[in-house]
Amino acid sequence: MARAGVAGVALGLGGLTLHQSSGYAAPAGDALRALSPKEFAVLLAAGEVILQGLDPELAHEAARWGDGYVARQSSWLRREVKALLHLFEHAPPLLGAGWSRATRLGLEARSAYLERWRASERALLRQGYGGLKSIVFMGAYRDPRAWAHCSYGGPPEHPLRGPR
Amino acid sequence: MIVAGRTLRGGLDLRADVVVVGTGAGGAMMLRELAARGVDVVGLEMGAHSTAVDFSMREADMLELLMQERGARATADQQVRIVQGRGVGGSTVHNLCLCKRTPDEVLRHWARDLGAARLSPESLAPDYAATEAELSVQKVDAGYLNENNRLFKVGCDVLGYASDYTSHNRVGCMKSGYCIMGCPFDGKQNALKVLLPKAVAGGARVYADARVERVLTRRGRAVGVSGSLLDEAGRPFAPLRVRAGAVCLGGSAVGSAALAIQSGLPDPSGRTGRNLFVHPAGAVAGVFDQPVDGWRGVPQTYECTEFLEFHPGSEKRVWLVPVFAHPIATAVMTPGFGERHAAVMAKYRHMAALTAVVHDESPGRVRVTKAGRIQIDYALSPADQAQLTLGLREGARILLAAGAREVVVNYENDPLTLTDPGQLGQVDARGAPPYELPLTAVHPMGTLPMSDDPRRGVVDSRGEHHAVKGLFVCDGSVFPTSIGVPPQISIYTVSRHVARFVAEAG
Repeated sequence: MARAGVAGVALGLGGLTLHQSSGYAAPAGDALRALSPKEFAVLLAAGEVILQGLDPELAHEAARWGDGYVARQSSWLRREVKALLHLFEHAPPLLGAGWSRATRLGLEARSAYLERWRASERALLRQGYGGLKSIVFMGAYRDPRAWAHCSYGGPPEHPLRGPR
Repeated sequence: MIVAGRTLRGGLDLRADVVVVGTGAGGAMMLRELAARGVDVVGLEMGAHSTAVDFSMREADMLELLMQERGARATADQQVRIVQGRGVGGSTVHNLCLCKRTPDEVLRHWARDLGAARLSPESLAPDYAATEAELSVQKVDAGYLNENNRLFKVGCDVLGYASDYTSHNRVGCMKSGYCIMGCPFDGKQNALKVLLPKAVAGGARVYADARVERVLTRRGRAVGVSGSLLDEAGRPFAPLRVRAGAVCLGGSAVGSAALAIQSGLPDPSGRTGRNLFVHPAGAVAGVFDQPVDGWRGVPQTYECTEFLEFHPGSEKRVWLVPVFAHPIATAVMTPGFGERHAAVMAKYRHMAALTAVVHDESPGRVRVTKAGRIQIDYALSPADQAQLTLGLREGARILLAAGAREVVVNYENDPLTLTDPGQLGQVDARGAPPYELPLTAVHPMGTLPMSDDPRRGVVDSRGEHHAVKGLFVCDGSVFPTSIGVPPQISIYTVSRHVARFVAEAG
């Protein structure tokens, strides 16, 4: 995860980024553990782009898992991830990707926006891209539906626990 | 018995002859050695105590359970992913059992040129032999080659490259291929399985979930440690303190250096935390017509040493060895995202892969931020970038020689796909510039280097700190340079060497 400065940059965008939290519905099912509904929506939006080509349900699964993963992290890393999600949501205008929030961009525009993060000359954005990608792929490729995509057989029966 | 600190609601306040920080290769060997000598010793481990029943072979769960920062540790600029163990047994729980002695040439350089007089090949040889016997180290044979390693061997044989089977510390191996997630079959003859049970049987008191935050000193002498007990979520909930006649750091080249810095220990050589080497590594993948199923079977049973020499300044400093990752790590390391990424992952079953591991000469640094977080600074020098380029090129050549229909070098911007050895010059042209390749490092070392010259080393060649009497170091921190080979057996061995002097001091 981007360690130096994501939180600072997000804060630099002021109340605009950190306090505009209306219009984000809480996901159905279990309560969120670390992310706000807004942060969850941003992670889901990133996941939908990153996981194109896989079972569409996996983006939701990855965001759910990501919420738990962030909850289990140290407080400073939790702050960094949350700041990253706010930055990702509100930075499209700064990167010439239109005036919408990331969650309101269509899939194609969101993909082009994420590509700008990936190829950016700014280390902060590249690191943020790497962080999003790591969380999303960890959440997705732990799921047997993603294993099927890559023909991964999955682990054998545990010798002490039996089948799961 | 190993006590789970999370169960000790009232905190921990102990006295002992020696307190050992960390229970990986260095710490566990120290505990076992001291207990065998009748020393009253306490071991403290910040991570949890997990055993075979906990090793679920589920990649995400095991990354969280077994790795520092739940698998998220990396250099400050995120260029190099640092994979380090956390928990009782340290990195020996998840490592791939490779056992290779530090080459004599490296040890001679340390002893002759860098002031580590007691680490000559001759003086360490008996300790190496004893360690290898205790951990059942054996060279593997063709029966251990999975398809990924077999193809690597074919490529080396076709090219006539210097190569051989590797040596491992595994007994009763079921060849499941899940070594990197801890062995649910308990086949690893490691710190967790072999040394710590002996230490405990000998009287050592070992505590998990016990994070040391400060080395306590009085009038230039180490007198104990203090810190916190951690709950299941890793949050501190109660204080710990151990008062002891000697303190021994075995918390890894990252953890031990950070603890020394955090404790404000004197640093007359100015080297504490500096001099970090990590063996940075990049991967090459080949796609074969037949399924490879590289995740199955024993990993890293064959190696190529054609491009690995050990004299300082060598132009051949890269070790080639098969590698294979389970889906999460593969997905994270594969460049890009979306449809193109998914198309690469669809070839997963047909991929063979290897890694080019650089015997590095680029010193990095471990720091502790004002907020108390560990920060790892590391960047490859141009010379080390050239070594990585050499390794990627020759790795690609090996996979093509083995019959790969295409080989991919994972440049983040436009991955390079090769189908013919005539195209290998493209790797040289692209090189290994910063941020272009996903790099991994699993062997941090060197941050509290050993030298009898106090201007050159933080500890002397008995492992004792030059400026703090009674403070010893018994992990990979003490290596004065990169060693160019997997360090586990050398860490066990150096700890065995240092234990003699700790026993006298404690």
